[in-house]
Order: sequence, then structure tokens, then C-alpha cells
Amino acid sequence: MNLDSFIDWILLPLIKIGILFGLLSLVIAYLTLLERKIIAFMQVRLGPMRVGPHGLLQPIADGIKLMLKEDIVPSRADKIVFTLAPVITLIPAFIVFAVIPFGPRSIHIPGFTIPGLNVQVAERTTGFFITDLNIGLLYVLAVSSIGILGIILGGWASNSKYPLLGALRSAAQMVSYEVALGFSIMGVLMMAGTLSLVEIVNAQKNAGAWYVFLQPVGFILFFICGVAETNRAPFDLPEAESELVAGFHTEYSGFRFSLFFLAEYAAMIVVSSMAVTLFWGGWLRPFPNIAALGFLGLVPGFLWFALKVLVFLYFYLWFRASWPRYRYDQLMKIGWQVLMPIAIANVIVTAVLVLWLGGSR
Amino acid sequence: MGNSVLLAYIPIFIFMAIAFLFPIVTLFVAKLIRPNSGGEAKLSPYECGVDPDSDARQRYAIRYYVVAILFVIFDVETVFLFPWAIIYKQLAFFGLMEMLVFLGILIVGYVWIIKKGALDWA
Amino acid sequence: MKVIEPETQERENFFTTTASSLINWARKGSLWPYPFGTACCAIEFMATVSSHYDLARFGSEVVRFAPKQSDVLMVLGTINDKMGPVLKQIYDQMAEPRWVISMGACATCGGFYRAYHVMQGIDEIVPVDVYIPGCPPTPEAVLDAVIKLQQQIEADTRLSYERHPRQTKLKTPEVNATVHALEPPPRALVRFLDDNQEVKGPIAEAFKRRFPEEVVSMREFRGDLSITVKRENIKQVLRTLKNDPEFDFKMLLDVTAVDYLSERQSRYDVVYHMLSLSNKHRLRLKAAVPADDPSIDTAVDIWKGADWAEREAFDMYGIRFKGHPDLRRILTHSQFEGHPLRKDFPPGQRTMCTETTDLPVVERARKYAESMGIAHPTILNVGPQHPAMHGTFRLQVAADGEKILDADSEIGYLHRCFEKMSETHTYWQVIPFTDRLNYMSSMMNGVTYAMSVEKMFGVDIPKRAQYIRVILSEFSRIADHLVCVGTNLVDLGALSNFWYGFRPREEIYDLLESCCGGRLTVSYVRIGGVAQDIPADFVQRVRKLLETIPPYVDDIEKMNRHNKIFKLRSEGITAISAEDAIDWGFTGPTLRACGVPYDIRKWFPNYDYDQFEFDIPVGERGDVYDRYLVRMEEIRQSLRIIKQAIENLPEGPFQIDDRRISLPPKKGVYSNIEDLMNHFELIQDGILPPIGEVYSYWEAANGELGFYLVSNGAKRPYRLRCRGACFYIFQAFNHMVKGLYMSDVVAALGSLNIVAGELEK
Repeated sequence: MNLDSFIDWILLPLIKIGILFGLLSLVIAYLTLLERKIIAFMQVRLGPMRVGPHGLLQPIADGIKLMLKEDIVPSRADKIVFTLAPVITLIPAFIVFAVIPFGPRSIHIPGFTIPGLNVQVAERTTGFFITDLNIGLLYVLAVSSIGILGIILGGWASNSKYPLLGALRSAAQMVSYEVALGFSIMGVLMMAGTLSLVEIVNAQKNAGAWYVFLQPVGFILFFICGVAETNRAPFDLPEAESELVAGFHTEYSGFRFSLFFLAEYAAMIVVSSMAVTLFWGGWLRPFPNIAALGFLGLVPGFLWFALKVLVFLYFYLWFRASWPRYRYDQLMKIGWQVLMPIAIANVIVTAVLVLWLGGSR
Repeated sequence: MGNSVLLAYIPIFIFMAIAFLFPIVTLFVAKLIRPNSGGEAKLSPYECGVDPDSDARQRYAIRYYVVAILFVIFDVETVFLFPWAIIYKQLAFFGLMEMLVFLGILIVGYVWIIKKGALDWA
Repeated sequence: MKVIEPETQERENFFTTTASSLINWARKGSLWPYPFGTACCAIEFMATVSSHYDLARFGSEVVRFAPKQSDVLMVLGTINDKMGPVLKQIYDQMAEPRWVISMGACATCGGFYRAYHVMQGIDEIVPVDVYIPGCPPTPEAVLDAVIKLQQQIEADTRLSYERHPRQTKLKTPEVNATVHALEPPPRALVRFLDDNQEVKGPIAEAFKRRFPEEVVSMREFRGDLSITVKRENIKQVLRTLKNDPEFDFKMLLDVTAVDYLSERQSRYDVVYHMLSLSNKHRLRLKAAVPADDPSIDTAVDIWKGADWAEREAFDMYGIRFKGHPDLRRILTHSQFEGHPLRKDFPPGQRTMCTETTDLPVVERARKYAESMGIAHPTILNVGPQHPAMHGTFRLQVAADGEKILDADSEIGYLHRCFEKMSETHTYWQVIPFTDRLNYMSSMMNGVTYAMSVEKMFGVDIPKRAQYIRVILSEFSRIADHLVCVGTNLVDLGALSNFWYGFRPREEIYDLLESCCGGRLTVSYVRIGGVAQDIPADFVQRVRKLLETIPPYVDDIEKMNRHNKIFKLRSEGITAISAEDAIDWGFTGPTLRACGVPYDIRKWFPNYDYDQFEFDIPVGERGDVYDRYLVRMEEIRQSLRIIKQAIENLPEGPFQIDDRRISLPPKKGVYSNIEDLMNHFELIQDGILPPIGEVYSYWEAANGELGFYLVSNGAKRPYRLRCRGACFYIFQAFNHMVKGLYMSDVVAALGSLNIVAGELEK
């Protein structure tokens, strides 16, 4: 492996991973605060105020406390699986971000010579993403469904009844919405003709419109399924507090419990990011092809991206504050008997339209 | 070029290693200072403050298995559709027909499942 | 108070002190509570979480019901012996570091329940870090306790500490914690009750005609018809009373017993109260049961509703109901010795409870599985410490996945001996106890109790006192419904409604506070009126409330009434037919949701209710959704009543002018000997009602709240029986949930508005 490859595939990614990892942990931590604050405001109260100004250090305090809380592994549990389950949930939740494009390929690194070694480092351009897989979308779908395995294993390994019920709910819920989720993005794929997430965003630029305007049904399906896949209200059955006490993680304490939490919030960000990437033009500014709005381009792409992601995260919190949760059988019914037919119909209609409009061009 | 396709996975493995090390290291460091008192009750499963009288792992309702099997079937179908969708524009009319046949079979199966009541939870 | 001793072996150097202060900062800022809520204090804790106080400001709103994830065990309310093992288990399961806050007098020392089933402070079992005084403590006091705990944590200099050897244990309780002497034998009372009278009236005459052989005695006192029959043929009598259209007593209101010691040949009376919805008659039927063979035929096969009431009579008096399918203890724990309401049972004699036993459902499920040759279904304990079980009910279910095949419910985790306590306290002293029955709307309990004593005297209270009672009771009804609807929706996952419901509730608290100083348990009612006159700005306050409450109610309505998910979750769930509901003894909104417009305020009006204009909302299917609709509409109707009452609020005295009941004016006490002596006597002995027995009833928030009072002319009630509405509703619960899902159980329980204080007394 030569130096250029080393820089391209190891050094630069390593730096980016470091930054992303730090940022992501911070964002997740503050997402919990954001959730508490926003829901508090929706409920006419203040939310955390005392730990740091306006509660700004609350996530840090929570983190340290959870880290130093006693770690309990129940004696009747399957100990290896029990200890591994949170890690299994966490890893996919993080590594999904490896392919999500937060911005365009626009970071220029000028060439330079490493003094003393007399080694020439070429000029290069890199992007606001860690790596651009040609099967990025497939990777996201595949990896993010591994996370649910951790939940199932955790609930099963606890050898306790409430966690087991939570795990079963989670498993059934995941499988029921995964299919509709897969169908819902088919339209985007047909139009973009690629699985690379960077290319999908570029395709939206070329198409002159974010895909949400071409695929509104697909987007709505995607977001519903995404909320269901992340076990959030109104689909928060696996950890339905009033029914299953704490759901699949009832037996988990301290840091291991917080890993589940991290993973859940990371998954929320993933779903929001994917919604933005696939349907809302990723890092693109609004109306990317209208020159008159060029001043919007002054805001860097990754900020547009972050802003859009925030909107979806807000939706998540909004749902949680307003809606009751579905019952188990109703949830299954919606997944299989409502969303799936709509998703399949959407695929067929899109296919016909793509052919018709594309053929006449 | 083929090389770079594979090379693109290297960052993912790096990321995976870091994501794996993060909880492990944290757990290990925290172990040095976190309290640990244990106790029989603490290590027993929670069941609303009552000692559970039986093991949690008993039989599950058969429906879970049915749904799992259905999932496998349908999910594999979607995986088949991915490559088709990507080159759909090239396939054009032939692609549409092919897909309609494929989905047709899928829909027939789907209707059959519903008629059989495999998806009725009650 | 505990003094934290620094551990000497730990070196205090720069690193450890810096690290420990950082760690302590984190720990104190992130105290996640486990709300071990049982009683009234839990409601004040809910107020602490609600918008006005917002516990979230301290980072402590992350309520975790999993003990392994929580930091501070907040014991909210009375812990009795039955709950002891549960509390111990929950504490033992909490992860270190853990702290305990004991909220309220009951958790701290048993409060004023120095009784046979109440733990005299949780520190009998678990170590406590902060005690909160008050009964119940105000939300400010709860916040103060959290701050105090934070200060304690901050002062702790150890880095990694195993806390003090904090062993939990179940202690053998002290016997005879009470100081009250037992009552003298009820000689005159027995003579009074045995006296046979010639009674006119359709029921009495029909009864004499139908059962000339059975009648032992008959008497009418203060309008209550009371018939004593022989116990041998009771079943046939009861059956005729229910099924014969001439009587048509379709609803059995209550079954209980009274102990007359050796004053009578047959020591116990089994007392049935019943109601005919078609001809609006009420009847009290009694049957004497001897001490050497305390048994009588069961009425369970006649009214389903007799089930738990008979079990309670068995538990309290040891009366065996022959043919009862499941005659077990119900309120006291399974290891309890003796029958506490017997007059010769020392009020403070406790029995230690060390375990929680399985309910019959386990055995039933096992037998069924064996007979069918299938695997044993999962047995799951839902409660007593389960977020949806309000902290005190236990449901043991046999489940297939999420589907409930069979279930049994157990209560008694908040049994705090109200009836025994009433027998050991004077008439005035009973009022605070009544507040803690249905603590969601304590005003109405006080009113109903005072009505029973006033009925015993045969007096009417002044109009102004009546209107004050009406206004505040209707506000209490609103507050009660709001909590019920709010918590029901939270159980369904719709969080915000709880906060929207608590805001008007908080304003109602303010009104009550301005009248009497109490928020939750008001003790504002006195026998013969109210404690003091309403404040000068009362009318303005009420008018303002009438304007501010409807928007809050509308908010909740907007979010739920047409919400698809809410309707999916609530429509058809635990729908119950009107016949079944009546048979079980349902009253109140739960009965009205089935379409039966039985509302005491319309059917047996008192306090000018017949002059107020208001409607009785009724549902159709009796499901969760209808109950929600009925409650929301009742809030609006209550506002209507208040509006009319406040416009017509009469001037005049707020207390009855009767020297047997109310204290003489202070001016008289200081100036003449008669008033001075009168005052002295009333304070020393309390009031002395005449000998007799009455049943008074009122439409409380949950349904018919009844007090059956037996007086032997002494300063304490000889027997005070509380007919709590939810006792009769909840007994149907495990039958209603069969075949439903876990999630439905949660929805159904919330909609029934079971309040443990009233349920378990």
C-alpha cells in the first residue's frame, strides 16, 4: 500500500471517524436534552434547568452517573449474550454513519511535502463523508437491521418476563416494517439508478427537485416505517413503559442500559439522515437549480443537512408528546395490511410513470 | 478501480473497531470506581417486586414464527428488486413487464396469506 | 438523620477529591426516581412532576420503573405489612449507589394509621436518607427533599463507596401499637336494634307478606328500612329480592358484618345493602350469625358483586360464606392471624408478612394445561409495583404471548385499616381518615361521612354550608376526572394529557387551599357544616376558575376525542353490558358509560341538586372510550352546576346552630358558663350521636360512596363501614380482561379509575 492509498483509505477516514464519533456522541447526548426540553415546553414546563445553565450540562451528568452506576448481570441470565447485546446494538447504530453523506465532495487538501522525508503528498479532494460505497443504501439497510438483533438478544438473555415480551414485540415489529421500508425506497432507486448515497443526492440535484416531490407517498411510508423501526412513539411498544415497565432493557443497569439508549437515539438520527438523503436532497440547499436563490448556497452543505435532520428529529419528539401508542396487533396489521400494499402499489405506479415520462423525453 | 471499491470498506472496519472499543474501554475504566454490592435479590429478575415463580423462557406464541417466516420471504423479494430498480431505466419496457410478473406472483402470495388469516393476530 | 462518616482508609489526595466532586456533581444532578407510589403522597408527587412545580428542573423527571435503572427510591405513601416484601425486593434490586426518600408521615412512621396492617415507618425495612414530613407533603417539600439529598450526595467525599452496611430485613412488628381503649359492650345498641317496629311502606309490607316466617325484626330509622331475617333461608330471600319485580333489587350495594360481642346470642350481623333501580327503593337486610358457627349462605350466585364483599367480611370477621367459590383473605396478607374488625381484636396487633403468595390462577392454569396436555402458559405478575397498576394492585395472569388467558387480581397492598381506625377515633377525628379514602377528591368523602353523622342526628345543615359543599365537591369531581383521564392517557402512551390535566387541577387546589389550607386532603368538612367560612374572594376565584378550566379541558378533547390511535386503543375494550355492570355493583361514570343513567344527584337529590340544571351523560357500549367521553362531559356538567350554585350562594351561617354538634361561639365561651361547659364537653368527648344505624350515600367521583354507620351513643362510631365505589368495580376487572392483550389491561384499568385508598380502605 502506497502513501496515497494510506492517506485516502486510512488516515483521512481515521480523522473523519474521530471527528464524527465525537460529534455524534455529543449530538446524541444533546438530543436527549433536546427531547426533554422540547417535550417539557410542549407540556408547559421548563425541563432540566439546574445542571449547568438551562440544564445544558444535564447529558454530561447523566452520562457520568450512568457510567458509574453498578453493573448488574442477573444470575439467571445468559451472561455472555447479556453482556454483548448492548454492544451489538450500538456498533451498527454508529457504523451506519460511515456512508451517510453530510456534505458534498468539496474539501480540498493542497499537496505538500513532508519535510525531512522528502515525500510528496499529492493534492486531493475529499468529502463530508467517511466513505462512499457503491452499495451505500444496501449497506445502511443491512447494518441498521443488525441493531435490532441486539435488542432481541438482550431481551432474551435477561431471562425475565417483561424483557422477553419486549424483545418479542421488537422482533415482530422490526420484521413487519422492514419489508414496507424496503419497498418504499424503490421509487427513489428507480429514479436515481444508483445505490450510492452520494450519487442519489447528486441525482436529485440533476433532477432539479428533491425526490420528496416526486415520491411523496414513498417518503411518508419511509418515515412511518423508520419511526417504527426505531421503536419510537407511537410505535414504542418494545419499551412501552406503562405496559412492560421498561421493556427489553428492564434488567439492564448503568452503562449497559445507556448503550441501548445511545443506539436508539443514533438510530433516530440515522432514519432522519436517510430521509433527508433520499427524499429531501441531502446537503442540497432548497431549490438547488434556481440561481436566484444562490445566496442560500453561502450556507455550507452540511449545515443544510443538519438543519433538515433536526426537523425530522423534532417530528420524532412531537409524535412522542402527542400520540398514544398502538396496540401490538394493530401495529402488525398496519405494517402488513396497510403499509405494504401501498408500498407495492407505489412501486408499480412509479415504474409506469418513470417509463412513460422518461420515454417521452 | 476495482481495488478502490474494496478499499472503500477499510474505513468501515476502522469505524467498527472504534465503535467496539468505545463501550468495552468505558466499561473497563468505570469498573475501577463504580460500586458493586451484588446480592441475591439484585441478581434475580424483576417482576414487579414479586419473586418470579418460573423461568421466563417458555413457549412463545406460534404467530411469532409465522411472521418471521413471512418476513424472510418478503424481504428476499425486496432484495431481488434492488438490482432491478437500479437498472430499471435501461431495462425500460421489458423491465416493467418483468417486474409486474414478479410482483404479480408476490401479490398473489400476499393475498393468499391474508385470506388464510396468517396475519390476523387475534 | 443519618450522619455520613468518611471512610478513613481512603486517602484524600487531590485526584480523589477532584474526581469525587465531579462524580458527586453528576450523581446529584441526575437522580432518577423510582416512584414507589401507593397512596395520597403519590398524587402530590404527580403534582411535583406537573407543570407548576416541574421536578424536571432538577434533572429528576426521568422516572424509571425498573429498579435497576433508578437512583432514588421515593416511597410515596403508606406501606403496609403486605407491601413490605415488595418494598424490600424493589430496594434490594436497585443498583448502587441508591438512595431512599421517604415521603409523608405514613412512609416515615405509619402516620396516624397505628393499626394492625400498617408498617410503622419504612425504616423497619429499608434505610432512609431523607424523610419528608407532612400528610401529604406539598410539592415544595418534595423538591426540598430532592435538594437535601443532593446536598448529602455533594458532601460525600468518598470516591467509590459501598454505602453503609445497609441490610434490609423484614422485622417482626411490635404488637399493639395503638393507644386507644376498646369500646364498652354495646348493650343499649343491641336492645335498640332488636326492637321490632310496625313499619309501613311498600317494601316492608311486601316483605312481610312474602316472608312472614323469616322476619325477625323490622325497623325504620331516619328513613332507612332495615329488616332482620333468619340466616337459614337467606339465599331464598335474597334471590326473591333480586328477581321478584315487586322488589327488583337488581343491585347489591354492599355486604358487610358487624360484631356485637357477647351482648347478643348471635354475635355477628351480616348486613346487605341493596338498591332497586326500577322503583328507587333501598333496603338493608340483616341476618344474625352466632359466634360458634359464623357461617351463612353465599350470595355470589345471586349477585356477582357479592364476591369480594363476602371475602372482605370473611377476612375482617371470620364469617364463612358457604358455597363461596374462592373464600380467601382479601385485604390483609395471607400470613395474617386473626380477624381484625372483631371487637376483641387489638387495633394495633400486627403480623409479619414475609412473602407474596401465588394467586389461584397459577393452579388453574396448571390444571388446565395438564388436562389439555399442553405446555404451561407463562405466569406473569403485573403489579403490585407496575407503572400501570397505580402501585398497589396486583394482577397475576396466565398469558399466551401477549394474550391473557386467565387472570386473578389481588388487592390489599394499601389496606390501612380505615374501618378499625374509625372505631378507635372520635367522630371528628374520623374526618381526616375519610380524606384519605379517595384522595383524588377527598372533599366528597368528608361530605358523605358528615352526611351520615348528620343523618344519625336527624338534622339538616344550613343552606350556605350545603352550597359550599356542593361547589367544592363538584370541583373535586372535576379534579378527580382530570387525573383519571390524564393517567389513563399516559398509560396509553399519550403523555402530554397528564400535564394538561394537572394544570386546572392545580388551580382547583389553590381554591381549596384558600378555604382550608389543605390541597389534597382538605379536611374542610365538619359535622354540621364546614370548618370555617369561605374566604372573601371565594366567589371571584370560582368565577375565574369557571373561565379558565374549559380551555384546558378542550385541549385534552382536541388531542384525543377524534384521535385515530386513541379510538383504536379504547373502542370496544372491556365493553360491558348494563345488566352485567349492575350485577357487579358498578356505579358512577363506569355504570353510566354502559347506558344506565343512575346518578344519585338526580335520583336521590339532596342539597338542592334538584334545583340545579344539569344533564347526566351516558354512554352506549361501556367501553374505555365511552368512559372517557362520560368523564369529559361530566366535567362540563359539573362546571354548569358550580355556575348555578355560585350565583345562588346564600348568605348565612356555615355551621349548624346545634349545641350537640358544633362548638359554641368563642364570645360565649369567654362570657358564660353554659357555653364554656358546652365547649369543654364537645372538645373532651366529641359529639355523641343518638343510638342507631344509618346508611348515607352520595355520588362521588367514582360512583356511589356509602357510609354505613352504627352508633351506640358513645363518642366513637361503633361501626363505620365504607362502601367504596371502586371496590365493586375492580372485582370485575380480572373477568373483564380475559382474552385481551396486555396493552388493553393497561387501558382498561386506567379507565375504571380505581383509587387504592377507597378500594382497600
